Amino acid sequence: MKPALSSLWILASTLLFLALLVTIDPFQQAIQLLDKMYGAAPEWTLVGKLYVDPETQETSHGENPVPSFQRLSEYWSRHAAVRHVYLVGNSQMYMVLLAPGEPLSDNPEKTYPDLLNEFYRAHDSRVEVYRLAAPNITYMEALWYLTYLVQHRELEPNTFVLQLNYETFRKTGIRDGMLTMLDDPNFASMIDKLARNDRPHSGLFLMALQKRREQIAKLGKTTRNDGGEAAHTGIAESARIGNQIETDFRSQLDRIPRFSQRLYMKGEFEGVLYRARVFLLHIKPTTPRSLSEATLTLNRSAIEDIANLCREHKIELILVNAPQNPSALLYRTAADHSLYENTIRSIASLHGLPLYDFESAIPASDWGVWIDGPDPIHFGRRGHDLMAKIMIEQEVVSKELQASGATYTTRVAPTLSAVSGND
Amino acid sequence: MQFNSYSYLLLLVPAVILFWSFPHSWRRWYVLAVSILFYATWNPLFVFLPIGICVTTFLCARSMQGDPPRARRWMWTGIVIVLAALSFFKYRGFITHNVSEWLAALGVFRGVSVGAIVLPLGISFYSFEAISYLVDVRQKRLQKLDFIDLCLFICFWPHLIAGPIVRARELIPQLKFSVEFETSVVVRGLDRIVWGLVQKNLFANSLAGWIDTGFLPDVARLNTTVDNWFLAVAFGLQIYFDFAAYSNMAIGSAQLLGIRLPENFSFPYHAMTPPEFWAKWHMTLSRWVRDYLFFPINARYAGSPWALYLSLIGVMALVGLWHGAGWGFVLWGIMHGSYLVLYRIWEALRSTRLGPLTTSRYTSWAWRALTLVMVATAWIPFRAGNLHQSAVMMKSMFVGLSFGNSLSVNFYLVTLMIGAFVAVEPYLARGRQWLDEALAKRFANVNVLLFRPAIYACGLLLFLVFDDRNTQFIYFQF
Repeated sequence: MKPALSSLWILASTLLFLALLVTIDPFQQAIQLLDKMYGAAPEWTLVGKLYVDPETQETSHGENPVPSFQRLSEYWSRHAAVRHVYLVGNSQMYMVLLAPGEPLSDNPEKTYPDLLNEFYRAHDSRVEVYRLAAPNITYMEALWYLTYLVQHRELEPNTFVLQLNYETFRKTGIRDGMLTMLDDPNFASMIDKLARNDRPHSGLFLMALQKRREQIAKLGKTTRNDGGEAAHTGIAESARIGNQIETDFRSQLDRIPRFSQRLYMKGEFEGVLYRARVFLLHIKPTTPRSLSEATLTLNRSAIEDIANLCREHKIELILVNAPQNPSALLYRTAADHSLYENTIRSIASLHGLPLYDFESAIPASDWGVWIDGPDPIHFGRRGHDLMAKIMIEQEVVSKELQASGATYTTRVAPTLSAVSGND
Repeated sequence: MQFNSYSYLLLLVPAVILFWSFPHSWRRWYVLAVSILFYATWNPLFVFLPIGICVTTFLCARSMQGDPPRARRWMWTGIVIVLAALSFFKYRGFITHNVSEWLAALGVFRGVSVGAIVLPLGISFYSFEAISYLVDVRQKRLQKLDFIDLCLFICFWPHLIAGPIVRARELIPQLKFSVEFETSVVVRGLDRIVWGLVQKNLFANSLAGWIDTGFLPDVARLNTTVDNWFLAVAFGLQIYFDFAAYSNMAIGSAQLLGIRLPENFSFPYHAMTPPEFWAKWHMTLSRWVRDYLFFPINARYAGSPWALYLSLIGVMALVGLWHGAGWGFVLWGIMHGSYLVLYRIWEALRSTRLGPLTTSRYTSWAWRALTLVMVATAWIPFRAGNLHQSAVMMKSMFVGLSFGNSLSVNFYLVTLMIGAFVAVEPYLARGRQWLDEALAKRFANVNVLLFRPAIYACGLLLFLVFDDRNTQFIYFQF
């Protein structure tokens, strides 16, 4: 074959093989194979058909919250006279992982914030609950959200219910999806101010500002100088022509069928690695871990800033120690448990905040099964039902209904309703 | 335009096809035009900088040849102008800030500051190439001067932004573009480009987020010993894969045009000693520093071991400063200089009673381990924001040990996985070479027309899956 012809053949067959690989999706095949080999829980236990209501839920789960807030702003401006309550936390708030014995339902599954809303609406309690949850949310992100909400009068909360969770104290950072919120100049300047504060988590805000500035530059747009003074060369910002060309190429490529599949496949690739970690190294989601001083300090300072911001804006802040699976406690040692408890109690007492402790509220039988064992964070249908009931009975969100005698009727028979009471 | 951007990869195909379809005489002009356009996609205004450096270098070089008695003066004029441009863009703020601080400490005055100017892309690299050109002309290693040759040598797009740092005498003869087109040109080029894409997106970028968080001053202050060692190793892996990826893509892009650029990396973390590390890490910078800085300095002060040791530390401090205008980079250079001195002293012991010890097998393994530890430790000041942070992190690595993990368990696992890959990398490369040769002998066509496209497709899939537009090459800032 002539060199020119064979070279073209190489290029063409490379593209063909690539298309074949995308079609076969080898990472999905690997996941299925590993799950089969190691007897993972069936996929259907993770409920896919969930109740969706953009007026009561941030539906992007932190990946692109601005449109959700625009929608909420319109909705709440029509319901300005009611009390606006945000429930802020991790995926426990929006995922349903069916517990053993729970059948799959044909109806969209509701989570406890949905059930709370349903209850308060049914009893005309003049309370609107909004679920502001994201997977592995960090307290820096919760502070990020709150800073945004107080910048917009129609979004400003009356009550901010913050879920506390041992696992969350191990996370840090601001996810990329939330960076678009910085396009709001008032918010950006507030974040810039926070980034310049000498707080332990300030560096993360600075990093987020810098990242957004580079993102905007790479989209070929003009950047504002709102990102603090992070040391950088300005290379990304200067490459205007190159960035514009790249943006145009990407938008053209995204029109090719299945091309955008690549982002989904990254999740699958990570799923393969995750399963390898769980099945081969036995490092599971339930493997107990210790808190590090670094993450503890960052998270504590972020929660304290949330408390200060709430006080400044006269927002009621409520802390809720989230349920944990009794058969999959994440504390590595008793010292870890007491460190966590002491931390959250000391934050609550320092700032005079109510702390509801629901850590053992959901019995072991109501929790889901994840890959090869009990899930430490997500519960099933009964769990959500029970959580809603407990929150209503404990008057976490509203104290007005108890006196009127309104009670929550469970949808499914709970196995246990004991709670440790509020603190 | 970055090498791992879609636009570069998609425009490279027609650019290469056009190159080979032009007659030989047009190719030089075509490559020069494409190189300038490539640089202009970053900032059209700054195109004048490499061209200005070419003009200055050429005028000084021609004056050297035309006026031999004053050749030395012309060489230094050229070098000073090039270094002045480099200093203006890269070190202006650093110098002003430090002088201002020192004067303030002496109670003279404070508050001098300079406006921020974007660092022109690749200036550190093409400045060094211009200097080497001037020195080579002065030393008569280059006889025939041609302005277009010089422009192509400096601006040739595959090495313009971040090297490899090429010698004029190895690149200019190739810039006649007289090679005939063969399939092997495409295969060799694609081999390097696809591997570079995987190195960048899969290996280097996977670690970037955790490293950014772990090196935040307030996080770093509280990191445990384990965290800091992992961060040092992880950053060593990140920068290796990031820069090796860039070099592979540069070498691959040049190979598509039939040009061979020198190698930049040769499994550096397998080095047995600190000098060997520098023979395997950023090899083109090492040889530039050796030929144009270390040898001339050392030749002047030959004979005294102390002069040698001081020159080693001084030269490496300058290498550190070349990487970035910050004391952390200088400390990194000084540390590496000290490692080289330490090894020289150890070698000097060979002629003493300790001689047998220095040649023992166990000692060589101990040096190998020590080299890894020393190299990893030096990455801390290179990456940390300031000297104070470096000191805090390094102290926690060696004094007052503390355990536990501050970052996600996945960070430690991914670092170990990538580290394990680096450990077997030379053996994999040898295996691949063996397979290549075996296939070439018996199934040459199947290898080129079927096996390789399948491998490229796998590499491209990983590149696409781990595509992250928000990262750039670390060495772009140097």
